[in-house]
Amino acid sequence: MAERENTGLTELRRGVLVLAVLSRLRIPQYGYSLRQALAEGGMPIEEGTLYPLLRRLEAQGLLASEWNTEHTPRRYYRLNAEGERTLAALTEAWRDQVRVMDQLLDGRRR
Amino acid sequence: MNANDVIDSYVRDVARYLPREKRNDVAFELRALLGDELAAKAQAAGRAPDKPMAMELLKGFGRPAEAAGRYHQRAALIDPTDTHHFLIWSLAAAVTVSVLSRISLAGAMSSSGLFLQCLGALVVVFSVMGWWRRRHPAAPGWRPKLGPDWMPRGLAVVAMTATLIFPVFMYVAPQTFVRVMFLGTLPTSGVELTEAFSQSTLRGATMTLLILLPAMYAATIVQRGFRQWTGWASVVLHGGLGLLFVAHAALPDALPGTEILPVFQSARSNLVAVPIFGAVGALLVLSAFYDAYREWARISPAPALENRPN
Repeated sequence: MAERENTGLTELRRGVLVLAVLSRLRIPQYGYSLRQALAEGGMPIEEGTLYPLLRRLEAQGLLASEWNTEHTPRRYYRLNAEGERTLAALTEAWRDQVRVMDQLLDGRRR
Repeated sequence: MNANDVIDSYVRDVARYLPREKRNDVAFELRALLGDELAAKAQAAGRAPDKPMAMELLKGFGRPAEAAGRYHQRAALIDPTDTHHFLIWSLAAAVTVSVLSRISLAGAMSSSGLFLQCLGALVVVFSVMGWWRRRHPAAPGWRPKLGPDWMPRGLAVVAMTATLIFPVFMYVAPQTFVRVMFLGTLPTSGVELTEAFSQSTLRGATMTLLILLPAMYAATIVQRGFRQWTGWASVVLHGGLGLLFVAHAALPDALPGTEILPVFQSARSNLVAVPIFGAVGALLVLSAFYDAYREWARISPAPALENRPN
């Protein structure tokens, strides 16, 4: 039973992962710092999942990245203009979904 | 080997699975990220990073191929959705090659070599199909097909009549068949049966099944199409006839020590007929296997759906 709940929770979180990541990239972050920020915000993500996701979002044109090699070489990611627009649209869609789900779960009509 | 060596080795192995233009970039970033993760792990443990610590960290990333797959998804040679059909076709190829090699239709062929060639051809066909679908995702991928029961009355009448003429009439009375079909222009002595074959159980059994074949088509005329029982009847009739025709060709060889049972009085006719009997028999057996698979895999809609008005 607990395993089934965990699977369901993983599926739920997978759906909002992109939104969670975009929300933390208004300021530049490198992979590990982003993972820490998400974990502190209550959204722990496996490292093996997060890092490739960052590259996919960059390939989709939502993020910009640059290397900082002053100390330990690290790649910093941040939202670009398209990423800002996508974040705003997804945030609105998410709030709408939350409203719909609340109504469904409470058994009310829209 | 220290912790850094372990991570370097892992990063190299991940990069090997990636396209050449991505390798160095991903490797550099992955190396930095794993370094951060390892440093955090060491800090939490209150000791310097070591090999077991690095191995534990990498366990969470999965095998290098899995990690690389998250960075760059390569297309499968055969689409996962095609796997079932690929296996069915491979099995059909194995059965076909096995039957062909048993009756030695292809002479001194290597059955394992032929099977590998069939398998290779299937891999190429399925790969090209998958590639085409990926290149043209908007192209229609499906067309409606006629159901397994489909058999219009007109076609069933044609099938029954054709079966009565060929092969029933031809097998039951070969000399009359030649005289009627060729309007008496060809000599009939070449197809004169031997006395032993005329009275053999083999001929009797073959004639019985041959006569049942048009009877089956008559049933489809009455029923306005195939039903499950007529489908299985077709499997039994075609499979039985196939085996009997193979027996026409292979009986003397198949049962050493038995007397040779020539079909025709003319030795030359027998020489021509034996491979034809073998080929027809093999085709009928293969067709019966295919029909049996279709019947076994038949999808019958639930009664409620079947009775729904159009």
